[in-house]
Amino acid sequence: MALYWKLIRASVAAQMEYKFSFLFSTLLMMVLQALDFLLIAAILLKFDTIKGWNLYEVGYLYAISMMVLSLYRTLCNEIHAFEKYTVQGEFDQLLTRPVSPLLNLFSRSLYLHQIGGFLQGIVVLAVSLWGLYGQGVSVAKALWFLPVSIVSGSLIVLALGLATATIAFWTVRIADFLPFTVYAPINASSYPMHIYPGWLKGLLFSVLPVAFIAYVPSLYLFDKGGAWWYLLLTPLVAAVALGLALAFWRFGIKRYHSTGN
Amino acid sequence: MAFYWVLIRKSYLSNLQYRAAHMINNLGSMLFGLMFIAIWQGTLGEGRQVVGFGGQEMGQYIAFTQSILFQTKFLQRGFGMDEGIRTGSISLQLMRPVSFFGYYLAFCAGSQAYNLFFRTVPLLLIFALFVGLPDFSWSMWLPLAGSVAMAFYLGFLMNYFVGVAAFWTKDIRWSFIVFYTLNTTLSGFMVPLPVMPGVIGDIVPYLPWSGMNYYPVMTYLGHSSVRGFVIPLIWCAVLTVVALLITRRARSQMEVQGG
Repeated sequence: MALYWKLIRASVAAQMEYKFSFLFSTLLMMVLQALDFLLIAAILLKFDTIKGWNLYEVGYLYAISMMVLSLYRTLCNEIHAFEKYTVQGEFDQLLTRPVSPLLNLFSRSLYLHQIGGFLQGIVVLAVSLWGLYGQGVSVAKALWFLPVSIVSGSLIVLALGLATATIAFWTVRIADFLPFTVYAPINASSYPMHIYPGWLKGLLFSVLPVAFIAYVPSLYLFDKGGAWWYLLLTPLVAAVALGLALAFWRFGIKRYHSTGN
Repeated sequence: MAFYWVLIRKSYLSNLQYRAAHMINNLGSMLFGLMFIAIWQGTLGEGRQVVGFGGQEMGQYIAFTQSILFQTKFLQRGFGMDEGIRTGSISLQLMRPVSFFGYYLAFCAGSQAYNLFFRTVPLLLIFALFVGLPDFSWSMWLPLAGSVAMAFYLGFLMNYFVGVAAFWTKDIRWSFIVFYTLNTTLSGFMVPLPVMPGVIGDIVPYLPWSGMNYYPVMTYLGHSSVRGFVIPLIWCAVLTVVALLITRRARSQMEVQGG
């Protein structure tokens, strides 16, 4: 762990070398991602609700999804971009190091440029909760649950990312899998699940369990028909998904054949 | 001319090598498309309409814009010009006795033709299972072909601007993201342009991005208009002149990193 922090500190120092460039890119990323939300806002401002969910409720789902995706990309970038290790044969080097390849990947993974999405998520979350409060909805439960939401949600995204990275042990490249396994599911989690057709809902509640990131707990948090134990499902699903992804990763490593370089 | 045809063919064939991977990628595009369709159908329900479209037609709207993504938005970032500048290979490109602009246009056309057969058509057919296809008459083929051709050309031009930016900025990641986001937001990709709030909704139909999704998809859904043809045409002409002028400036500006 001490080694991990040492490597992280070195990584931060390297990325902050160009402070202006870093601040500019982070700010730009925030503004651009905000435009993304404006599209949804444009629809909801015109039609008020998507199957009974208003702008602030969808904003809550959107904000949590943005924040957990951004945290994953900030803290686990090398997992997300894992194919460079299999394409260029660099994974062989990690196997010869005295620490586990996964820990090694995490220690190289800090990518601060992606933090803009998290900051933008905070803004959308604040606006959404304030809006809900203004409508007379109690937001105290959502605030209490926020740390669990963020941590569990990030772990669910990590599980999806790690499982996708593992596919690279067989296919070498994974870039074409990511839209299906990470990007689309996370985007889908920004909206209430009941708008999707049955088979898609089934997918988002099971193999790609992003429904548990924000939607399931919000059914209880905003009194939309959920029970208190829905809150337990989020960390539980995160733990199971990550456990399965780690088992898959260990299984994949045993079958890894170098591409050489 | 023969050179450009060879280039178009080569670009097509090199894309063909990765068709299996692209089919997997299509699954992701499918999921995104079905998600956007669900958002609109969930919003409109049974009775509501947007720009005269109900849930079914908005489903067809999204199916179309999602199917032409790889010709307008997901082109190779700046056609790899930044890499050419870093390695110095761009200087060879500039010395060739062919137009620099024409070279990339042919390169892009080959890739767009490939994507038409291996992404657009399969995706449209998959989406048709969920939302059907619009009523279509033979008299609409020509306006649709013209509108789509202009959309593809505008997609090329936007990406060309991202590429030539490398002559000045070296790192074109940010210009790519800016163009990408402007395309997503202002082209009518997910939201028909008149739905955009306030003054934005009044302006965006006249901007170049409107020709990349909004006017082609309106034509596809049987709502072609003279305005929808003239506005993209004017932008195609204006931006071609701008691109050629920038290319001339870039030649004198060039400073390669290696060699």
